[in-house]
Amino acid sequence: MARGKTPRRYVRGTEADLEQRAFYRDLPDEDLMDHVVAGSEAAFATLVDRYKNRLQNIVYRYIRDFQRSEDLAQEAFVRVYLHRERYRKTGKFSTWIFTIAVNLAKNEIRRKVRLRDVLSLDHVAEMLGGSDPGIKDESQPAADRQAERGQTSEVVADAIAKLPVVYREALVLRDIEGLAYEEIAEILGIPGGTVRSRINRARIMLKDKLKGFAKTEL
Amino acid sequence: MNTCQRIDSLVSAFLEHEASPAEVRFVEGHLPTCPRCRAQIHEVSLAMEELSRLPRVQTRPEFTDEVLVRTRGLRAADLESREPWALAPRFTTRRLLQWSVPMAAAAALAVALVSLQIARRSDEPETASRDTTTETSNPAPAVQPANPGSSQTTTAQGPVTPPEVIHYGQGEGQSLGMVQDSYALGTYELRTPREGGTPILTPVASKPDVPVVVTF
Repeated sequence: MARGKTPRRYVRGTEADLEQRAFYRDLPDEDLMDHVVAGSEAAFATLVDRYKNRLQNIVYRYIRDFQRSEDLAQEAFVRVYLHRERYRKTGKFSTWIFTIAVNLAKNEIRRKVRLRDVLSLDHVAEMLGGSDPGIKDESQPAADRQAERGQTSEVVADAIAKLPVVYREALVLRDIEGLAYEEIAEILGIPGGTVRSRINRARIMLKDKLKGFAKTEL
Repeated sequence: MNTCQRIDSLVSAFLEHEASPAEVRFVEGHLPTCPRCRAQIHEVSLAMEELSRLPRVQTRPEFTDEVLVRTRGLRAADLESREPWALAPRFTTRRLLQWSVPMAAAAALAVALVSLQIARRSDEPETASRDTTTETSNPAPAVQPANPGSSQTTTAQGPVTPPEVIHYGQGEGQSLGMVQDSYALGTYELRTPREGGTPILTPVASKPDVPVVVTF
């Protein structure tokens, strides 16, 4: 596809869209990126559709704020588009986009911590490796949160959110997203051995946090 | 590191079947004798199960369209930035506020300087005209017309008055007035030829604006 050619306006849901989606559906991510660089909006939309849930899920597990996790997931896609010509096919597209999303999520946590102008008990807990003040679920009303607190998944999600960030990120990428250790190492920019030890440690910490609950429910 | 601590470091590898045969033998040899480590491995496996059962977040149906709208905006901005006028700074309110104080100070300074210049000129009109006379009569400060009646007049026309008049005695230009080889006379140059003789008046600009009358 010739670079610089004016792309046809892409309208989702039309017959042309269905045709293009059928064409792009089976292409690997890296080939889709070639089409994106060449100006295909349909190829980009295919990538967005392919990764949007995973991306938002990862970010949500970092920050536990649905609305914000959606904003950041969208931002990750916008950055992919913005820097599309920098992408090199030598690396996996998924690693690239997950790295962008993880960095955005980490920045969000740092931003929220910076915004705190009073050293609260939450902050002390965070410094000691406890709960993160930036990951309260603000998108749901308190009553709803209270109602869900008895559910196992909510308890587990709370326990994940209380892990220190370095353990949380490794755990989310491995046990929720199911990424390979090598890919996690690349995304987080740390050695594979460190990834393994962090994930192991994170699981033990999570188990300890769930212990009281596990005695009755698990 | 005691045995239980070593088991702790191997929990994940053991559960994910990534431990080496030696590590597996080590764990399996220890577990029957240690209730604490048995519980540890059991509880971690339950926690991993719970993690895998966590509901996945689903994006809203509008998600993709919203991303596309944002990237279309980027593309439009990208095209706009290639236009030459896009390079000019935009005068947003913030930018205007940011520059208002320095711009006001610069304007006030400029007004003050112009006023000062006007005041000086109105105070010293004669000095200014005297300066002009000095400059234009400089080539022949001591020369007086030896014989005005017999003089030859060369006239260069120009739009500005009054004309500057330089008098040379006939045949005496070099010895009496030309203490230098050449003189600038506004847009003319009066130069003595190398071989000597009568000085030559030459225009040095395409549009001479000072009328010069040279009398020999």
